[in-house]
Amino acid sequence: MSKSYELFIGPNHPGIPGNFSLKIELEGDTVISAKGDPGYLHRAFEKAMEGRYYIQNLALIPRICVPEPDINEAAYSMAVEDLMGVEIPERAKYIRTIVLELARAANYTFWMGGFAGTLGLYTLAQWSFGDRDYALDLFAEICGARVYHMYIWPGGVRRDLPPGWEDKLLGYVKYMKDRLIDYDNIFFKNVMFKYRTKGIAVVTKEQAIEWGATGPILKAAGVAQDVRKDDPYAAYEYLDFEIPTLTDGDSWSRAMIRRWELENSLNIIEQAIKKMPKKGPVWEKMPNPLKWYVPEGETYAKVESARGEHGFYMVSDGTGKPYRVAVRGASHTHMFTIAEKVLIGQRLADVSHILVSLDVCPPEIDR
Amino acid sequence: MMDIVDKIKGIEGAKVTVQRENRVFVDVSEDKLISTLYDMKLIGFHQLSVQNVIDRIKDNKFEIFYVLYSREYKINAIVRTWIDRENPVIKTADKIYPSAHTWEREISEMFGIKVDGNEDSGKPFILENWKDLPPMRKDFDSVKYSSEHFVFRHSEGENE
Repeated sequence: MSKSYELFIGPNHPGIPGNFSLKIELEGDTVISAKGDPGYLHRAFEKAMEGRYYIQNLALIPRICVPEPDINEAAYSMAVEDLMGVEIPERAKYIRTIVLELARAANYTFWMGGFAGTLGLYTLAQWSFGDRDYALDLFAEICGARVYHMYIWPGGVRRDLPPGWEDKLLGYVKYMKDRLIDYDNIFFKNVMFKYRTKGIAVVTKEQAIEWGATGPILKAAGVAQDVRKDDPYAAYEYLDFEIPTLTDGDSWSRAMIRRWELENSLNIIEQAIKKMPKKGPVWEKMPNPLKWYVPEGETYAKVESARGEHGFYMVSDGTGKPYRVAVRGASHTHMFTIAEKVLIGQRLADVSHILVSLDVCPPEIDR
Repeated sequence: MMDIVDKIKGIEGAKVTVQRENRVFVDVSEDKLISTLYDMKLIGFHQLSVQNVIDRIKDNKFEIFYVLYSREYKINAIVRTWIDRENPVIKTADKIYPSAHTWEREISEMFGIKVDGNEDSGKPFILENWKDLPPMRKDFDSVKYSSEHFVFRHSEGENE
C-alpha cells in the first residue's frame, strides 16, 4: 500500500493566489513533492501583441497583473521610448512614480488581506480589501478606470492630474499611515502570525541568489536589490528612500518586508508630490497611432514590481506593430524555481501562506 | 561600466555591443553559448531574468536570448545566439542558472525547440492536447486556428 497521496490545490481554492494549480504529494500532512501546473489563465498576451498596433497593446497589457497593472504599462512604455529615443517630460516622470507607488501600495494592501486570510485572520482581510478601494477610487479619478488604468503611455502619461487630486492622494496617504498602526496591532504584532510563520519555508541568501529571486524574497534573505535604486526609472533617482532587508528569509520576514515596503511607498508618494514640477507637459508628442513606426531594434526595459523585477523584452522590425514582446514576471521564477523546492518538507496547513508569502501572480506565468 | 565590458570582451568568441548605459548585447555562436553563459556567471552575472526566443522566419533562424543581471556592476547583459529553424536544438543552461529550466520548458512548447539535457523539454507545460504548429512561431496562424476550432459568435445588434 502506498504511503503517499496526491492533492490538488487550485485552480479554484481559497489558498491559491489566482487561477493556478499546484499538485502536491504528501505523506501524512508533510509535503514530499510540489509541482506547479499553469495554463488555466493563458490568454496568449505575447502572441496577441504581435498582431496589434503599439497603442492597441496598452489596452491588453495591464491584464498581465490584476492587482498591480501599472507595472506593465510602465515597462512597455519604457521599452517603446527606448527604441524611439524619447525622453519623457519631468512632470510625467513624477506622475509615473506616484502612480506606480500608489499601485504598489494598493497591491500590498490587497496582499496583506490574502495573507492574513490564509492564517485565519479574516478581520484584516476585510479591512485591507476595503482600504484598497480608496486607492482604486483615486485611480478612477485620473483615468476613469479602477482596476486597469491604461494611464501610463509611451511619451509620458495620458493626461494631467485633475485639480485637487494631489490633496486627495495626501489624504489617502495619511489615512493609510494611521491605518498601518491598526494593521500592526491586529496582525503584525499578533503572536499567532509570528508563531505560524517564523522559521517556515526559509530561502537563504545563497539560495535566493542562486535561484534568481528578486523583490521581497531576495530582500527578506538579506540582499538589498531593487530596480528603483539600481537602474532608476521615472523620478526615483530624485527621491530618497531605503530598501528594507531582513536576514532570516522565512515566511515572516517576507511578510514584514512587504509591510515596510507599503510604508515606503506612502513616503515616496509624499516626497514625489512635494518635488514634482507644478506645471509643464505630461506627454511628449508621439506619432499618429496608425503611423506609429518604431525603429528597428531590440531592448529590455524593467521596473520593480511588488513581487520583484518585471520586464519587457521588445523587438521592433520598424513597422507599426511589435515583432516580438516577451514578458518577464517575477512569479515565473518564484513559482517553479523556488516554491517547488521550499514547499518540500512543509506541513499541509502551511502551504497556502507559504505560496502567498512568495506572492505568485499566475498571469505572469500564463502570458 | 567599462571594467565589466572589458571583462565580457575577454570571453572567447563574444561580440559585445553597448546599447546604452547598463545594457550590453553579447552575441555568440551556438557552440559557444553554454560556455559563454558559464563565463558570464563567473564574472558576476548571477541572475537570469528571462530567457526566450524570437522567430526570425525571414532568415530561417531562431534567435535565443538570455537577459542576465549583475548586482555588483548594476548592468544587464543580453546574451544572444542564432540557430537553424529546421530541427532546432539548444543545450540546457539550467546547471548554470536553475531558473532556465522552466524558461526552457516554455520555449520547447511554444517554439518547438528541443532542449538537450532538460528532461522536461517536449513535455506539456501550459498547453493541453496541442497538435498544431508550436503557437509562438510566426507561421502559426492564430486567426485560422480559432476559426477552425471555435464557433464564431456575432455580437448582439451586429449586422449579419
